[in-house]
Amino acid sequence: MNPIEDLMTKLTRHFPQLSARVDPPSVPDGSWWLDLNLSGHSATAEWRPGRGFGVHSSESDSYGEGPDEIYSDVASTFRRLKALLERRERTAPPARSVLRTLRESRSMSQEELAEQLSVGQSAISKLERRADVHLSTLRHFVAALGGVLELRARFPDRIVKLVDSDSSSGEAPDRDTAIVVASAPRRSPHKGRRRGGTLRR
Amino acid sequence: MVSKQERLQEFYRRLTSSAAANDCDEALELIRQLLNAVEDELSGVPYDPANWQNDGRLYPPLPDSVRPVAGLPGVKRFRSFRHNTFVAVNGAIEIRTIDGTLELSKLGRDGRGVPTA
Repeated sequence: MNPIEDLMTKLTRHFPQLSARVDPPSVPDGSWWLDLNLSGHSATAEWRPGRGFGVHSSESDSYGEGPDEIYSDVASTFRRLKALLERRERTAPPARSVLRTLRESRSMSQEELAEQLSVGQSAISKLERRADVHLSTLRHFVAALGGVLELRARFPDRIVKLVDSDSSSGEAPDRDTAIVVASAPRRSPHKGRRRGGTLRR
Repeated sequence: MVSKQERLQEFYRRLTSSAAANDCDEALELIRQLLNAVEDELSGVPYDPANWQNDGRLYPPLPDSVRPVAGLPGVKRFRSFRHNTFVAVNGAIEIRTIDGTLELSKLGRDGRGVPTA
């Protein structure tokens, strides 16, 4: 029994009324699909050998979309599908990247931003998909868009400014902000980077 | 940016109005070229097939998603999340949702559609 057949077995044991159908590939290492329907609520799982499971139960079912969610093993995929079917929930596409939204709000293309940062367009594309980014990279990204990165820690009795990369901008500092932990030397984001280089994670 | 639904309609419009393909391979290539062109022009999402997860872009069927169709040796089925794409030896194309609803039908070089069992 392969992982997606194992998944189907677990689901049909848990939901005796579940309609479940496996759609096997005809080529080695092709994707296996599992189509599920519980009382009119549908979900689909894809298993790619060596890559894991994709899950999709979105209201949006446009042609050619990838899975909304990715899982590495049967157990976590089972838990997610069980929850989707029990609660009649839908998956949603991954949240649109904050960095991408920020760039688009400044009407700048990836190519234009890459030019500003002296890196390749693919580096910007990868950066915008990352879940975690170095502050220094984020500072350059924001600066290239014409902005200033600020980072604050809020406590019940005070706010501490952790990053203020524009301390000489002439703006009055906020009250109760005193510590600059990670202010980098001011420099042009154009300097010191080669075209086609990569941005730090 | 153009909405996903509008892009899909534009892809269907271009696919319907293009010249008929001559065989299965041409039909699949036609789908690939037209969908990628629409997404390059209108989605704002870079082509990144290595990124499996939904990135907001529509991708053509992968070659390794091919399946035979029982009783129809001249037809190939390509599976994606919510759709099946059928291409036939005469170059005809059908795109159906997985529950069988027809979304697009394009005739092949002989003026016929995808054969049915």
